[in-house]
Amino acid sequence: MNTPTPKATAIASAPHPVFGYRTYTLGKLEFARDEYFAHIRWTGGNGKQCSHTLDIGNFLRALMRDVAWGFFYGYVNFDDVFGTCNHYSSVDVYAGTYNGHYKESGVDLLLNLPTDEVRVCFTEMLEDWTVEGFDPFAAPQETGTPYGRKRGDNIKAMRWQRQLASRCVGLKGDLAMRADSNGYTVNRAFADVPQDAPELHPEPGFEAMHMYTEPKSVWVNVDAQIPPYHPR
Amino acid sequence: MDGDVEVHLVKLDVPQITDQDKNGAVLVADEPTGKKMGWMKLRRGHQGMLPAHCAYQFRAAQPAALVMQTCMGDLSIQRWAEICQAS
Repeated sequence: MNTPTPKATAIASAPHPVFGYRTYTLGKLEFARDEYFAHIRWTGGNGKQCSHTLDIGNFLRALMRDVAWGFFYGYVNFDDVFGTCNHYSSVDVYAGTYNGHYKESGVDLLLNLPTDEVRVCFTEMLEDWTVEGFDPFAAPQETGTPYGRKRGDNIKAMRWQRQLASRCVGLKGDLAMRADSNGYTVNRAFADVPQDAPELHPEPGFEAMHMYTEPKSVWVNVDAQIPPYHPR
Repeated sequence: MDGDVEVHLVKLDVPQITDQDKNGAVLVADEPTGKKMGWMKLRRGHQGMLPAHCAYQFRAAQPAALVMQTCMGDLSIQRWAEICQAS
């Protein structure tokens, strides 16, 4: 009988008595946040205690992309010190590995961890550290502030599921086109673009040409959603 | 896109490309022979997807612009180095 693989669990502290956020441990890295910053701490190769501090908004924006895309991107550089690299079953989590000064000083750290372990930690950290009114996937002018002490959460935005078309948006049996009625309003970047559909003049026998099963046989409005779909 | 562009499609009786691994657009040798599939009129905000192994032709009564995305093939001209790299 196969022994089930233990489910990864995040290692988290109790909420900070003042700021209200939990501190997380991932391998040899420790992540803490206060009102304005994320602090990453580790022991460098030379035995020194090291730390790196990032603006919490920037940290959460990068973290959201790691979590939402399951580390899909090869490298996600949170900044010029900290980041992740996907190996599709494991993830490199690095601090200073690709920074000349950190390398030179021997304070860099590279961890290769099972994807599940990193995902669970990052997901819980993201949900705990994101406050009500802030969506790290949104443009700064479209969302609230990430700063301050713990106040509520934004689980809805954190667990928002992106929709992926199996072939093409707008096809029969596939995702619908964007519309106010389905919650996918037109992006503001397209506010000045007409939303009408192309004029089609199919010949007899080709009336359903937009539903051909042959690849590349459809035409769609350019506002068709491409991932990540983001209802606003 | 800018302006109005018509895209006319013809289902070729005999596909010009026999190698299934060949990529990119190719020039139809002569007048395309096959069933007319119809045409679509595209303007700003529109996107047309072109059927595989079919002939397509762009027509515009007035000057117009469109961006075409395809794989590199016989008709591709790569000028990046010439345009964007001085040395």
